[in-house]
Formats: sequence, structure tokens, C-alpha cells
Amino acid sequence: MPASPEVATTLEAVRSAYRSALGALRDCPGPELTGWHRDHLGRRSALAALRSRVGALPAEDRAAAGRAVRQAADDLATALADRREQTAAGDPAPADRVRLDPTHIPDTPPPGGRHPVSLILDEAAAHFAALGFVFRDAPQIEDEAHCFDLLGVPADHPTRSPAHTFYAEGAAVLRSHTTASVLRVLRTEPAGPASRFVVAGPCHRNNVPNARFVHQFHQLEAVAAGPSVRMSDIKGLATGFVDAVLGDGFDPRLRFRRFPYVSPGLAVDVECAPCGAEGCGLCQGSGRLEIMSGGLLAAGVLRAAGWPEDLPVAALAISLERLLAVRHGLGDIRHFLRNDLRLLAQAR
Amino acid sequence: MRVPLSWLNEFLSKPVTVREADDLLGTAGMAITRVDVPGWRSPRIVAGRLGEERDGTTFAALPAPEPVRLPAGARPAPGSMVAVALPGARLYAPGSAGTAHGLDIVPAPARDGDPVGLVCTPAGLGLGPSGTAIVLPPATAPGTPVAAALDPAPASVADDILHLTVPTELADCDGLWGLAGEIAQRDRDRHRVTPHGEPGPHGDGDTIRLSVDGCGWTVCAAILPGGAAERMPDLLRDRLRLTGLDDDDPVTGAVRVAAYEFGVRLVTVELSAAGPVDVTVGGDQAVRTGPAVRWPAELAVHVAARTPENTAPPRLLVLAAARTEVSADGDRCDRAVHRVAALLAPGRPPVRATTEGPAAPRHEILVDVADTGSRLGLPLSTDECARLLTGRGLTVRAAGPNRLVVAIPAHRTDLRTRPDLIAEIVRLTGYRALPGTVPGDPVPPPRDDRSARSRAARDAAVAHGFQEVVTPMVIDADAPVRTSALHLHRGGSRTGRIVRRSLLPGLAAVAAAQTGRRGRHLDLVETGAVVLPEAGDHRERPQLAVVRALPEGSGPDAAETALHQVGAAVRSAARAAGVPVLTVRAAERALYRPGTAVEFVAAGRCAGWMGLLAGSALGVPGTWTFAAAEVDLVALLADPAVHRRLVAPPAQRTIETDVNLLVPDEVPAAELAGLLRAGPAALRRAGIVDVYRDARLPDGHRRVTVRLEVASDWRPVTRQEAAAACDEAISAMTELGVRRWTPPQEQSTQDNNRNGVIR
Ligand SMILES: [Zn+2]
Repeated sequence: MPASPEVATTLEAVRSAYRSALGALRDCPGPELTGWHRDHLGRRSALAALRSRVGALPAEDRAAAGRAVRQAADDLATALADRREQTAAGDPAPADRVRLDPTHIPDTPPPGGRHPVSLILDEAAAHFAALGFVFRDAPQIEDEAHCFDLLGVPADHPTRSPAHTFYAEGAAVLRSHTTASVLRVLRTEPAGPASRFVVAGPCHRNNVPNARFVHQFHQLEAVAAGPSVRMSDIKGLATGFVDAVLGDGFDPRLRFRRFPYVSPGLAVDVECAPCGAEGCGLCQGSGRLEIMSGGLLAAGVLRAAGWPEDLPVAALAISLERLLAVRHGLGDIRHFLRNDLRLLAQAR
Repeated sequence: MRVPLSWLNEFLSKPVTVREADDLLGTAGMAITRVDVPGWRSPRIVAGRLGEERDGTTFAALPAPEPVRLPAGARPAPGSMVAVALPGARLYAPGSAGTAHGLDIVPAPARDGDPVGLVCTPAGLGLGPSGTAIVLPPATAPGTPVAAALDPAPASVADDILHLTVPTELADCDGLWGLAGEIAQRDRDRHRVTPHGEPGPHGDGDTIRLSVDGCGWTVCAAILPGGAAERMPDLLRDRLRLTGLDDDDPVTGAVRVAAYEFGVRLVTVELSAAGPVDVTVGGDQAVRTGPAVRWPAELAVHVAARTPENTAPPRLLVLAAARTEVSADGDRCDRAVHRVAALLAPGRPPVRATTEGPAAPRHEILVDVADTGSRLGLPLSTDECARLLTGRGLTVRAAGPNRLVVAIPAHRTDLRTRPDLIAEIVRLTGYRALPGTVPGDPVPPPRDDRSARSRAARDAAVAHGFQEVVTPMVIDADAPVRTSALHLHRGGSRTGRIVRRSLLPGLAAVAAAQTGRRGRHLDLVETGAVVLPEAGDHRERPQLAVVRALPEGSGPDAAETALHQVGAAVRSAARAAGVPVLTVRAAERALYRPGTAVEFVAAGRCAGWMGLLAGSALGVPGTWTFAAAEVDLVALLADPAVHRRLVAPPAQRTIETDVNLLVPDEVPAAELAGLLRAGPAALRRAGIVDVYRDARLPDGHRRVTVRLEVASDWRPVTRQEAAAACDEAISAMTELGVRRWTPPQEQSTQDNNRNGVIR
């Protein structure tokens, strides 16, 4: 920054002389270009006057100000040369110009657009694809074995009651989490030395919808298997994902949490952005929101999948609506289910 | 478990904030599921300026004027600044029965005109007993939280109430003493303390002879003088109410306080006889006991007086029991009994006795420390591992290099196998100690997959201007398209539910629910799963649905345009998914209006339908019309993707001509397109570019503009050749009743101004 106010005034004067000269050049017809040169680059021009003012400046600022004046003069000379070339090529005279207003750019978004949930699902899948995770299709209509029994959820666990889970005829269950699909994928493929995949999509719970829980929500679950997989990999995947999708401002907290299908298990919380961690219906006053959960798959689950029990398999499930709520600062995940075009249109 | 934060903090040398408690207990595996911030600190209680009463309703500026409810008692003058609790705010309800755990929750307005807020009293805010409205400094800005308006901050009850889930296997954490222990273990700055003094010596050893048969239990007994018990201090009563444990009986209250603080089981027995007593716990004969807090069923109590003379008033025997390992954590049973005595008979330390029952068997687990470290990604020393495990009641002995044998107390039902113990080590170190790494094994490259093609199809429809929506797969059973649907069990809900058979009712509902779009059409697309039970199983099928919703009053032209738009989007979607050719043929289909439906055909198989549907067929008001397409993505993507081959443009000059044809309505465009494709060899490309209906056209006819391109591989074609090829192509259609159309009044103008463009 210039040291003295005189320097600042001088530099501003150089900029203003440059702008007005350039404006005049644009509207100057070919035959009058010599006159333009006299007025804006000649001995009586504003720039020439400024050049002499530079000598009066404090010694330490002279070089910078002198450079600015020289640069402006050089640029104007180049612009003049370009303009001469243009007029020689038959540039229309200023009088023939079309009258238009280039400042009016219509602010109409294109019709159509993606749903925020499907956008974030793709974004998350792309994040994991870059780490070598392959997307695997998996059904939403599951059976009790995959949804609960083989995952070690006891028969009397409250989440298994029809008041929490959707049951259909023929022992069908609508998956209440993507871990059911993880097990299904594991069962269909042989235990290799290393495998990485994601499953994703809608999950269903028969609860009373509120700001935090809804009938249909979306999860993406990333799974990495291999002899060198460690618990710390789950931490790395979780924190890396939060940094990539939510940005650096979110400090994910990993919390010990027990689930029957993992050991050890964890939950990942971030600060509840909609309320600024003050407490709201989404975080139920706690100021924190659980957005992921996972762990190393328990021996019983691997046995059920026909995999070696001691092979480490890391799983990390992400709640996409909650992620969106945090990203957009919306304190109610029902916004992502209502399909209100006034909201969806903003995602374009 | 509901924990008033101030109560928990009494057990710590340095208080924790909500955030610190959440952090430290969360790491230990105890989730804080919600936090209530009642009273004046609630962000939902804001300052409001009271206005005049209008039509019996009082308004307050918050800053916009809103109807509010006033408390009983004196009414503050209009213009005064009051505290207004908004819906969801929690107010203290001290001493009032029938509220949820000592708090009133401000309800949301149920009907138009209902008050949206409640003007608060000092009592509700937790600022004193007064029941009339509190008045704030007049300079306060309306809408600011009351906590910011009260200056200085009041020194009254300001409790956050933590809702905590303590897993059953962490029985030692059940109680403030145990929670404080977990916090102290994880934060070296904080120590566990007893706020109300340490229990003194046990006293005369012969007054109570206590024997315990219960395997693995420790019991402490004390005899308290009888008579009127002290009334519980108000603060403690308020706290008990906040935890949902209050009771009018002072003995019950004291027992609950001690059980809540120390996480032990408590019971009282009235002793009518004077003198020393023999107490057996765990015997098979039980005496009638007084108030109990979760007294274990296997610990029957038997009391025998050694001298028969009666005592008046009766004395009170207090018994506390806990699993021996749990009780060993700072003599919990002794502390609990001492606490009851301090509450009921302050200043008179009771005679007490503590006895351990027979030791319960412990099972042992061998831990390989190096293996544990590599599984966790956390280097661990054997000493560090041993230190962690002994901190919370496990016993550890070395068993060779890098190996520890850990003896597990009976109450830790969660620790059965080696992986359980690895999990316990993580619980004790906390995830913060773990480094963040990424999986290091090499992995195979990603494969192409069908879902990527589905996504490409959806994206193509979006690029056509259709808005993507995501609607529920589970819908009410009274929604339309309910023939043979996969029914879900009711599970307590009033309405039956099914898995959708089609995406269309959901899309129709989205269109009908939009507000402020009167008279405008709406373009929507969704990919999602449906279930068609008639297919023989309950396997879901992915579908793509594209819909243009037309509001009331849209004419037949709009409907036809809508179908064309929907069809174009579907065709683009198919192309994007690697299905270059998607043809249509007329078909009739249930729910679709007769004469409007077509079937999509890809690779010879039916891949979906398109047509017009009335709103009533999709469960929304009949004034809506839907141009809709449903594409079965399984059928569409059954064959591998075909990558379109690019064809070099003709090297020679071509002639492109637009011809207007007059086409009878019963001749479908698909048939015209087929005839054009089979036209003369010189015709390189032919396609329909416009369909037009007008009153000037003969009845039962429409105008179809076709664009024909004539070319030769070897030489420029002449205009005469082009005209001849076009004539030949058109004459092939005359038997369908198709002829060239020239407007009667405008004979002189050509078909249109694009006619015969030379390229
Ligand atoms: Zn919140």
C-alpha cells in the first residue's frame, strides 16, 4: 500500500485518466484517432501532467507511482494500435452502432433441476468413487434376516416393532438402514483381499415425522474390507468426507456408540448449523447433530455373510438429509421431502 | 435419565458446560439425546412490547405484532416491555402438579387467531416466586432473547436439563457419582467430589449384624431414628421434579435423591423393635419393605430383632445395594446410606454396617496388545492398555510379552469376547486419540453399472427442463393405482399403507401441492422404485417418470404439446442411457385417457407408457391433467449400452426442404415417420418438425411439417432431383389420405421460408 495520501491521490488520478481515455477511444471514429493521441498521450495530456507530479512525491513512493503512469501510457498506446487496425478493417462508425443494453442479463433460472437429495447422493458417491469405492445397487425391500437378525438386532428390540419399521406381506421389510444392503452385497460376493463399495438410497421408518425423523430418508454407506483396514480408517473417511462436503468449518466429533452389528462402533456429530449450536428441534436442544455412524463389522455379521470373522471390514453410514440440513442451515429435514418448488428451484 | 446440569456439577471439582458434558460423556458412550434450556435462558423467550387490546386479543411487538396470552393477575400497562415465550419454549412450573417433569411447554397455535406466545412470570422464567408478568427494561429491542435483556444476568436457577441414555452395561454410570467418575477419568482437570461431606466411621459394630447371600452384591445398612422426617429443601425438591422423580413423602424423596446421586438400589424397612438387629439380604424370606428404588428381585430382606421390646416411634432401617465392583467405586453404598441419613435426620450420623456377598465368578479375556493396536490404528503400550482397563473396575494381569489377561466383572455383560474388549479400549481412550487414516489396500477400478445409466437418463430429462423430485415409496392405501399392491402392516397407524406401484400419484400430489402457480404448467421427473406384485415377487423395479402437469383450462393444444415435450424428454433420457432407438406404438392402458396412450419400445420390448391422465385418476382434483410417461428402467436398460456411432456429414451439397402436409387425425405420426424412413434412396434424413392445428384446416385434419434432406455421396444434387425425391416420398403417403397442404388464401407464399435451403 502507498505510504502517503498524495501517492494514493496520484494513483487514483492515473486510473481515472486511463479510464476516460479508453472510453473516448472506443467512440472515436477512425479519422480522428490522431487527435485522440494528442489529447490523451501528448505533451498536454492528463497523463503527462501526472508524470511531472510524480517527481514531487516522497522519494520512497516515486518508483511505484512512476511505474503506474508508464504502464497506463503503454496500455493506451496498445489500445490505440488495436483500434487503428479495427477501423482499417471496416469497423462501423459509432453512428451505425446498434443501441442495446448489455447490462440487462435476464435472471431466469433454467426450467428443471435436480433434487437436493439426489444431488448430494451423487456428490457423496463421487467423493467415495475417487477413493476407489464402487457403487452397488441394492434393494429397498429386504427381509427380516438382513435387516435385523443377521445384524444381531435382538428380536425384542424396539426398532423392530411395526410401530418403527414397515413390514409387508411375505416377510418383507422395507430396509430401515443401508447396513441391510451392505450385508446383502457382502453375501453376494466372495471375500477378496480388498474390496470397497458404497450402497445408497431411500430407507424407511414408520415413525411420526418431525424435524429430525421422517418416513423416508436417504443414506449412503461406504464399506472397505481388507486385512490392513483399521478403525482409524473410519475416522479418516468420516473427517475427510465432512471436510469435503461441509467444508473446514465443521469439526466432526466421533463418539463411542454401540450398535449390534459393529464393534467398536461410533457416531459422528457435527455442530447443528441451523441453530448455531443453540439448540433447536433438529438437534433436540443438544446443539449437535449425528450425521454418520459406523464401525468395524462384528464377527457375527461377517459369519452371516460367509466372510472370515477376523477380516476387518469398516462401514460408515451417512444420513444425507441431515447433511443437507447442516449445509443449508435448514432446521427441519421435512423440507427435503415436501418437494416445494420454491425450495427446489434454488438448487439450480 | 434426566440430569439437571447444576446437580451433576456439584459432584465435580470444576463445573462442566453443556458442551463439555456432551463431549466427555459422548466419548464414553453415553449419548445426550436432547437438552432442555428452560426459563430465562431459553432462546425461545424474547422481549416484546405490549400493545393495546383489540377485540379481546392482546398483541405484543416481537418486533412484528403477534397475539399473545397474558398470565393471570395484574396486567402490565400497554407499551411495557415483557418476556414472551414462543412455541416450544420450556417454562418452569414449580410446585404445580400435572406438568411434564416440572416444566411447561408452550404450545404452538392450533387455530387461526390463537396466541402465538405466552407472557412470562418470574416463576416461569425461574426468577422467583411471583406469578404476575415480569417487566423488562423499556429500552430492550423487541425480539431479543430475554437472556440478553436481563443485565446483570440473574443469579437464580439456570439449569440445563440433559437427557442422557446410559446403556445397561454401564451400570456404574447410572447416577451422578458414576457420571462424574467418567468425566474425571477423561479430564484430568476435574475431580469427583461429594458435595455433602464424606460418611464418618461406621459406629458400634454390633448394632446391625448384616449378612449378604446375594452373589456379587455389596450391601450397606443403617438405622435411623424414627419420628417426623425433615422436609426436603426446596432446591432439591425442584430438582427432583425436573428429573421426574419427585414425591410428597419425605422418606421416598430422600431415598430417590440418594439412589439418583449414587446409582445404587435402595429400600427402607420400619423397625418396631428396639435394640440391635440381625439383617440378612438375599435370604428366601422377606419382610415387608418400605419405599424402594429398583430393589433387586433376588435380594429379599429378612430382619430379626434381638430384643423383643417395642420402640416408639419406629426406627427406620435403610439398605443400599450395588454390584460389588460398582459399589467399590468410592464406597457408593455407604455414601448413599449416609446421604439418606443426612436428609432425614441431619446432624445425627447413623450406625452403619457394610457387607459383601460371596464373590461372583469373573470370566477372563486374553488381550493381544499389538493386535489391538493394529486393528485400531493406534499404537498402544502394554502399560497404557493396563492403566486404561483398570481405571473402571476391571482387573488386569500380565501374561507374557504384549499380552494381558483381563478379568471381567459380572455386570459388564457387554464384554464377552476379545473384540468387545477392543471396543472397550476405544471407549476408554476416546476416538480423539485415534489418528485419521484412509484404507490402504489396493482396490479394483470401478465398474460400469446400471445405476449410472439410470442417472444419465434422469439427468437428460432434467436437461429438458423437468424438475427432479423425490417422493415417498410408501403411500396411503387409499391412493389410486391400488390394484394388487404390496400392503404394509399397519403398525399402529390408522391408515393402511402400501408400497407404490407407480411414481405418477406421487408426482401428481407434488404438482397439486404447489402454491402460487395458478394457471401455469409444471414439469417434473423422478427416478425411484415401485413394486408390481403381479410380477410374482416383491422385488422392486426402478422406474423413470416424466410428467407435465396442466392446470385447469388448458386446451387440447396444450395437452398435445405437453405429450410431445414429455415424449422428447423420454427419448433423450433413453439416448443418454445408451438406448439409441426408442420407438412408440399406440396402445390402450388403464387410467390413461382412451386414444392418448402409447407404448415405448426399446430393442423389441415394451419399456413403458405415455399418455394423458385426469387428475382424478391419480388422486388429485380432476381439474388437473397430466401428460405422463412411465419408463421401466429394467426393461429399458436390459441390453448393454450402445455407444452411438458418429457418421460423417455428406461431403457434397445437400438440399433440405420443409414440407407442410395435411394429415388425417387418425394417421399417427409414427406411421408417417416409418413411411418416410422407407422413402427413396436419395432421402438421407426425414423427420417431423412441427404439428399444428387450426380452424382453417379441414375438419379432422392437422398440419404436419416434415423436413426432408436429399443428398448424393458423389455429387451435388440439383433442385429438380430434390423436388422429385420429395414428391416420391409424399406420394407414398397418399393412400393414407395425406397430401401437401397449401393455405387457401396464401397460394403465393411457399410452404414456408425454409423451403429448399441449400446446405
Ligand atoms: Zn439445532
